[in-house]
This record gives sequence, structure tokens and C-alpha cells, in this order.
Amino acid sequence: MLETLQFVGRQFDLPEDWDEGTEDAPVVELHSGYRIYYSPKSARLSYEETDTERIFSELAKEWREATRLSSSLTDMFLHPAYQRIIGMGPKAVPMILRDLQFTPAHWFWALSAITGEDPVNPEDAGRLKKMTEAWLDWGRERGYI
Amino acid sequence: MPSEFPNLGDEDFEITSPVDGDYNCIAWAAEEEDRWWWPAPSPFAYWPPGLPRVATLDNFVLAFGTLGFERTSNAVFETGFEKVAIYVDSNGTPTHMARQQERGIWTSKLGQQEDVDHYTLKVLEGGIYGRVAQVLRRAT
Repeated sequence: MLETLQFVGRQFDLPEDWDEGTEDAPVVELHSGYRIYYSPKSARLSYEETDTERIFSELAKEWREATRLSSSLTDMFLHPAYQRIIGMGPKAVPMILRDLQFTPAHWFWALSAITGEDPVNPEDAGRLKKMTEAWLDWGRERGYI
Repeated sequence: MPSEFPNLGDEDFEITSPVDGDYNCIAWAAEEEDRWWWPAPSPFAYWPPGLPRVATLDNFVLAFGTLGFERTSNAVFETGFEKVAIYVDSNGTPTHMARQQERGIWTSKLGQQEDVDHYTLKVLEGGIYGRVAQVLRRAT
């Protein structure tokens, strides 16, 4: 029985009781926001984003667009879309970290609010690249990305 | 041009940099390009040590006071002085800063977007940045 699965460029741990799925019944819904299907007939895997992933993407897009001309971190952190992402709780963490990997942005407040942690060196305060690196290292150490 | 700036016409500005999220307008006014300035709790942004972490006009004046700037009522270019301007919203909360360059042309970083040169402070007023509430200057 497979224990891990390489999929969309990442490796996932599969639950012990996983079994073949059908298009109507997914093999496994991963916490990272993907639902994976296995088709016995064609012996092929397919996937779709879960609602959580879709909602996160929409909220992140709304936040970026609404705050693109703002220098105020207060406005960025208090934006309703940003607050809704914080409200998603721990399941938002891997999605935020993946977003950070491709498009660095001020997700640090949300990550700290959700996790209660802050891996950023105080000397790097405000330095987007350094802050991003610190959080991505934190995520890698914990298997989020 | 963004609808967020109702006073800004196509001839009023010139884009002078690519989009860059590494710094904001406050940092740009302080002539920094590698970190965000904002009185948010550390370490989410840089703010001069010892100053309160509250977004008020007085606190912004204090922050630029650490760089040698003092209040002035005159936004016109003066030989021998550098100037910066602080914009505030309808609540008096700082939203934006611009820095005067040689020949009196102003430069602004538009949030996470580009740097622009603009010929007057007024062209960025009336929209999301509100109005200019304070001009500061320091001797060069």
C-alpha cells in the first residue's frame, strides 16, 4: 500500500486507511486544499481545489487588489478579507505559505495571529524578503511546504 | 490611471520604477528601498526606535525628526532644503508620504506599486491618500 504520494509537485502523507476512490468518492482530501481522485478505469489521478483553497484564493486576490496602493500596514491587516483568512485558522497556514513562496506579501501578521509564533529576527523588521525567508524556513521545518 | 486618484491626469506624473513590494512610501520618503516603515508592532515593520507604534501625524513628524526634518508651512522648493509631505485621511491618520527632489518635482511610492514623479502634491490629493497635512524640511 502506498504511504506517500507525489502530486502537483509536492509529497503528501496518505492516511493509513486510504483506498482507491472514484470520481464520486475522492481518494483523500488533503489538508492543503486539494481533493485527489483515482480512476480505476483509466488508472489515472486527477485533482481539484477544495472549497477552502478556492475561498482562500478569492480572499487573497481581493486583499491584494484592495490594498495595492496602500502603505498602511494597519489598513492591510484590518482589511476584511485578511481578517477572514485569519479566521480560517490553522488550515490557512499552508496556503499562506505557498502564496508567500510565489508572491511575497505581508502575510506575517496573519501567520503570527494563527500560529502564535514569530520566527522573524527583530533586526529584519520590515524587510519583506528576510521575513518571507524566515517564515518559509519555519514552514519547511514543520512540513507545511 | 487608477480611479483612486481623481486629480491625477496622464500628464501629471511619470512612472520611474518597476512594481516593487520591498518598501513603501514612508521608506521611500526616508530614502530607503529595502524595508517597510510603519508604526506597526515589531517586527512587522520598521519604525525608529523609541517612538510609539501608533499611526498619528505627530508620530510621523517625530519619526522624520530622527532624520533631521522639522515642520514647515511651505511646500515650495527652496535651495538648501530637502522636503517631505505627509498625507492624511479624513480622520487625520497618515496615509502617504512624498519626497521633493531637485527642481521641486515630487516623488512617491504608490503602496506596493511603482515609484512616480509628480509635479504637485495636489495631484495625489482627493482620493485614497486624502490631503497633505504637514510638510517637513531639513537643510541639505
